[in-house]
Amino acid sequence: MIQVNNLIKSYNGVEVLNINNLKIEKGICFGLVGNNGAGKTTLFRLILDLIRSNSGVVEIDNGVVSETDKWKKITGSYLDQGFLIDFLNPEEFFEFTGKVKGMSQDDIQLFIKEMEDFFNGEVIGKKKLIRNLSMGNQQKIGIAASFMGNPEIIVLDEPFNSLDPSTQIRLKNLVKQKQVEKKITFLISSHDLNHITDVCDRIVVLHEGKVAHDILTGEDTLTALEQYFAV
Amino acid sequence: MLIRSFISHQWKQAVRSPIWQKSLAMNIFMFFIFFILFAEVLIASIFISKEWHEIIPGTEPLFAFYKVIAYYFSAMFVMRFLMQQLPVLEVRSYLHLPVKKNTLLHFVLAKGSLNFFNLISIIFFTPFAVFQIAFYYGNLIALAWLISMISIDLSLNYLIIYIKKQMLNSLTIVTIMISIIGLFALGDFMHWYSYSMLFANFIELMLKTPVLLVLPLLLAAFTYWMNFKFLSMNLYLEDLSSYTKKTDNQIGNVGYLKNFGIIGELIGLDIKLYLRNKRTKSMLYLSPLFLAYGLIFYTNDQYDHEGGMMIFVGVFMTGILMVNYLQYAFAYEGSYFDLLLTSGINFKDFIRAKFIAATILVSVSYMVTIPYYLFGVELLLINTACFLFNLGLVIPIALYFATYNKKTLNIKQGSAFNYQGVGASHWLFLLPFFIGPLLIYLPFLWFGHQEFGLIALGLAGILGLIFRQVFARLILKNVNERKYIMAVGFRERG
Repeated sequence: MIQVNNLIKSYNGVEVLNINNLKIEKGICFGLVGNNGAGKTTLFRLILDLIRSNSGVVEIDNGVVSETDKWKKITGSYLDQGFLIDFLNPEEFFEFTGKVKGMSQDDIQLFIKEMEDFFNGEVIGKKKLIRNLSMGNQQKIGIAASFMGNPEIIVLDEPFNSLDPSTQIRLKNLVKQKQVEKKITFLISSHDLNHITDVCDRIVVLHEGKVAHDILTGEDTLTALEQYFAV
Repeated sequence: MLIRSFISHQWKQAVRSPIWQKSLAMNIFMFFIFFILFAEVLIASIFISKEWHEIIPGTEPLFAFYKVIAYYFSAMFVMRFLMQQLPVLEVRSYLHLPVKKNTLLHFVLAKGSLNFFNLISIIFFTPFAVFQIAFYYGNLIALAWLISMISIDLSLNYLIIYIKKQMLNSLTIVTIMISIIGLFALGDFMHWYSYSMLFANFIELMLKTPVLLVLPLLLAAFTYWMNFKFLSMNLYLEDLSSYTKKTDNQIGNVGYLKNFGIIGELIGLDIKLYLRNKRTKSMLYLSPLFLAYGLIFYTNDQYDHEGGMMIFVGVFMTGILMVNYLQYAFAYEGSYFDLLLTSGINFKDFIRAKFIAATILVSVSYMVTIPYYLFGVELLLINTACFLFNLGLVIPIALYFATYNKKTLNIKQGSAFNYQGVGASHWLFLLPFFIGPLLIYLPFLWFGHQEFGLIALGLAGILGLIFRQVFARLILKNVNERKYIMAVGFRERG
């Protein structure tokens, strides 16, 4: 599904990411962990063609992301607030995103209904603009929007941040459910080792821009990760 | 101690901002312009002050100079209104610290008195105080006079800051203030009284009764206090952003646009952007003023209806709204540019949407200017030519330049501490649009064929319209080449 080849990104001569070869199969949940500055967001931005690599390419479905736009039709993403249009209210934002993703008005309404549980009654019908909502609720909107339009891949950067405990659990359930139902490939980064081992089938540890570990999640994965990060 | 760290933070903020570092050439250019202006004013004012008696040989040369001062201040008022940057200190990061609020405020305000215009005033007044006032009234009075003149200038400084702040805050107060000032100007214009005479008399009175020299000081203190009061009332976080405010969120919903697919959605998004953000909203409120621009020039006998001035006015009236909309394209969208890049929006559609919205803006502006034909049918022809020029050429050029934007415009914070992009550089950016049409028109005028000039202008526009797709491709190419650079710039907020 996603193929990373000899990808190098450096800022002012300092290499922040260097990944030889990384292949992410269809339908798995791919977890990315690593301390601050390890290159998690950089990798995601490269995958989403938001920054230019110094060398190497990312391919989605055998298409180089910086050369074609096709992957955008099948990829949903939420990295940060730059993915929200803050002067819209949530309904309008979903409508806009839905339209762009080629959904009909009915699809969009259905989608919002489906997500009601995830929003916990705090997002829809509040007559508030996104910019006036709390960080947590903004995060919910961004994450939800990345599920719009039947994506095959969803990229989420630290999605558990600023979510309340219930929503964190709901998000985990949502990811598991969609992975099974729709065979969506998830790319999720997190600092929460519990959550990430809980939802992900495969976990990659980044350290100083390089793949330090590449583990298929098993029973002792959490302990191994905790040991790795212990100081 | 505290003040020193503020100063150092401000300095760091300035030199470390990516814009400063990336547009070094522009900064050097601006510095150069300011330096030349500075030197010119200095030399001119020394020369004029020394030779004032030769220049105005009348009976009361001093009095004549006071009148000049009166006009100087009113010109300064307009200049400052258009160009003065407002002092900014990002207070949010200091509010939670054990720093006295008043210290913060005094710092912001003190920073506001340090600007180019105040410097010009010091240069303007000092030579005259030295060469003239001191000669007639003695050194001490001359010094007091100088201080009081600078105080008037400072009052102006703080008045402008106040007006500009209120402009983004409460438009009623600004409207009232502008109307009062306008009324005074009108009175002078209609010869009900002479502002310059009154002002000159006042200066003379001050010099003869030196106690009165305190008055300008009091005025300066008052305007300072006014700003202080305003800021201290607007210092809470909830005042700084629309933190808790409930906005009427139906505003800007145009159902009709839904029939036009993605392009309709994009235009709808822009309409909402304009109506729901303070900065763009105040721009809209000002637009009737721009369209009334013609009244000033068409009613004035000084301008004949053929000169380049009319072209300037025509291009301005039919184009300024569109230029304002397009020149900040991408920068307005900066806060969600990453979304635009990843969501699969085709930038071809994006550009088309901008073109269509800009076309509507230009057309509406043009229609509003049609009644000006009452001042002369030739004005209708001129404005039509200017409209075509704007439609065909300025639209694609403005959008092309907009692809060089790489700083997010903070459009939502209209209130107290945000005045990004309302300064001199913004006006510099506009120059090419106003000079372009003159370059086409004036040569014909000089050979006495102004009608051909208008035809050329209109034809240029029509040609642009015919080749719009070519421009669109160029813009698209530029967007695709620059999207990473733009995205990096837009991610740097604040």
